[in-house]
Amino acid sequence: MPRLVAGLTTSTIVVAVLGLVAFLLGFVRLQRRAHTNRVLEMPQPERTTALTVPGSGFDRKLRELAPETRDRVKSAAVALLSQNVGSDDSAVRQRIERGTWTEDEEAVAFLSSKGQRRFRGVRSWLGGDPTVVHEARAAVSALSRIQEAKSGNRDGGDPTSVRSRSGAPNVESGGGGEDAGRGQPARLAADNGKVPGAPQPGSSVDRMTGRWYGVGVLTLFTIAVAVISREPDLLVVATIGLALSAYAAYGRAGSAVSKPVVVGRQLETERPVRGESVEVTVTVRNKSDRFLPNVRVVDGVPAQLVVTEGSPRCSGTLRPDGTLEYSYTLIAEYGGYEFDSPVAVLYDITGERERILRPAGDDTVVVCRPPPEKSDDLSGRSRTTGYIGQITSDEGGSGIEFHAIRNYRSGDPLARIDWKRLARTGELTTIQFRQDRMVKVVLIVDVRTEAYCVPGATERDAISRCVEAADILAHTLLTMDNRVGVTALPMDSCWVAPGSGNDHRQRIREILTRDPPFTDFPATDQCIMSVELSRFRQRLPADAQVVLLSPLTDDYALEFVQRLETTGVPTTVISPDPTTDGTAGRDLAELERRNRLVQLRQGHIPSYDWAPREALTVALANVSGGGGR
Amino acid sequence: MTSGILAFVPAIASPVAAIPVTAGMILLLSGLIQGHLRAVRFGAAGMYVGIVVAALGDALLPALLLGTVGTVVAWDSADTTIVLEKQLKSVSPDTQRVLLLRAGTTGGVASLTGVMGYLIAGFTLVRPTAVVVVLLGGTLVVVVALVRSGVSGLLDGRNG
Repeated sequence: MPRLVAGLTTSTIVVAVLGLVAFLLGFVRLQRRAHTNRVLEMPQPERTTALTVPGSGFDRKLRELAPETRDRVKSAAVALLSQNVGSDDSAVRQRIERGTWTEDEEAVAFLSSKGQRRFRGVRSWLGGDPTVVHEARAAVSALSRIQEAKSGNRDGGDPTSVRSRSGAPNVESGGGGEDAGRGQPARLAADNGKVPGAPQPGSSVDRMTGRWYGVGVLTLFTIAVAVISREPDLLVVATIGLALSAYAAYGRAGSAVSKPVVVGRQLETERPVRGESVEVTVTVRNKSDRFLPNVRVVDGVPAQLVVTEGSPRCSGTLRPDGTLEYSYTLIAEYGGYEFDSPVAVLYDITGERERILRPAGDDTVVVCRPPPEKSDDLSGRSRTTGYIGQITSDEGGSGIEFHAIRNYRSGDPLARIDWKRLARTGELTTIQFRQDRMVKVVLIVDVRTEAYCVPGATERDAISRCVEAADILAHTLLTMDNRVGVTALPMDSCWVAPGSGNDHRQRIREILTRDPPFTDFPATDQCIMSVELSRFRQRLPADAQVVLLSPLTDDYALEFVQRLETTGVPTTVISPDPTTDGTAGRDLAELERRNRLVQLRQGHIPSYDWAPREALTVALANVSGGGGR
Repeated sequence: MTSGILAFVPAIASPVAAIPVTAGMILLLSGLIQGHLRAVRFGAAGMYVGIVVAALGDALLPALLLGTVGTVVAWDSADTTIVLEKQLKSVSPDTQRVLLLRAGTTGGVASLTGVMGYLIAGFTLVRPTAVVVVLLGGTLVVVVALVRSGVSGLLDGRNG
């Protein structure tokens, strides 16, 4: 071979150039690929509407080392320690600064004025939580212990209440992509169940995953190293990479089959009772004449229906005309819900070609219009309208519940004379019973975004529980011939004035199970306190009392109730508990909610803490610990 | 994941290669446990770097090919497992069938290529680098041409 350059043969130059070209090609492809995510995000049918676990936002900010996280914990600490110690705020803040409020050093470190650490430790870089997360958790735990010591039984004194503790691990609290994998709380989708780029029902979309991209890059690097180092064995190794790249090209070049699968759905019952489990069986059939090596299906579960058993997702292989069947269980809620069309994703044998299908839906609908459970223990505030009804007041008279004994007066009925006392002591006395009175009650259901939260992916959301409670309370009070009205917070155009009778009871039932504020939540309109109070005061009858149904996840509901009370409106609060524990943010949300309940009770506002999976009657019966009387 | 152990085979002849192979294996396993795709990819790349280092040492060609096949299958299986879990949230017997089919196909293609490459290299009496490079370069060009031209007619009857 003629020498082109002194000291170098032509073959050496060719080899070196080829190696350099291969190296550069690999580097360029790597740069292009560095920031793309080829993993298809499937819909989250277990909860298709935006939903959060209380405290999830705090956890996210804590990991970002946001300074407001420390301020929030500090505020909760000042509010709690001021209640318990009886000191003013400045004295409490001094205790926090000096670190004398607890013996936990991590808790003291988190709330001290030195601030949070601004760097991540080795543990964080290896995938663990930053030190500040552990310190925050320690601080919140220390505050919770102080609160428990003050309030006694953590469950509000009701041995029958069932609280969901750390039983909801699969609820997403922020982050996405790779960080949403195993061991991490997953994110509740805010995309209404839609797959990014997914087709409309009845159509399909093809895309390439590029999963063999990295293999191609490494192959090019291998060739570069082989030619530069003149190591022939590496070239043989590189042929494996080339073959796999050709394998991927084979997958990309394939043609797709139109409408290869049909998805059918069968419900155990289409008209369940509220709270009843409904089994849904999904059948996927391969209508084509080809073997489908990788089929993934996610069913279109209606929004706000919780999947409690099984999974609406499935994966498998399908022979021509073969079927795949799986089932899952939903819990029925008030209202009518239509299933969305499922999402099916087909992959070829290489995994390179991805076909997203939306088989046309079969219009499956589940309707729930159940009879409510009765609340025999229901009692409103002791205020009457002057009419006779079935709520016992504090006044004595005719009735069925014993009230007091007084001296006999001429004309008293013989049946009310206390004959036993007469025989024992010779005194002639008359028994008085509690007099039944009718009440006027307006039920307010908190449907704001802040109220739309849940302790776990398989738990019912707080607003659904509030609507359930409103239905039970309305039915029970109306059965007792009281006057009941219903509205939402924010009120918007939803207002049912207090009324009575069967027609009114039916109307309230229709509104709670069909009207948008109570079925299509949360409300997206801004909720301004002064405006809402003004609207409410304009419509509220002068002698009515209020029952607010709210999870108390923020101070808005607390302030709303306090302001109503200051204007002379007797208010009762029934609060479904949406909190759980397990992280600093969740513990803090639980602590703050308890603080709000304590503030209400200190203001002599009856407040009922309603634990998850606990019957409403049990929560209302829990007067000694969890109630507010 | 047992296929990843094959990546240690070439490291027997080249102890230096054991370092990147071990580090890559640890990273791949931790990525699989934690559900981190990036860790799995980098872990597999690390294992492959170990194989390249072994090739620059005294490792025999069969060991290199075995290690490469093991690394590819380990990466493919881990990658598919994580994606399936993220999309489906659970693994059923039907899902396991998908995983086995994928691993088997990938392993089959890689193994077949490895065997053919070894046989061809073994039968070649003289292995001039330039000739081999030109052959590989030609293969690369063909592959790229296939991709860019979108030759669906040549490969009709594939699954979709």
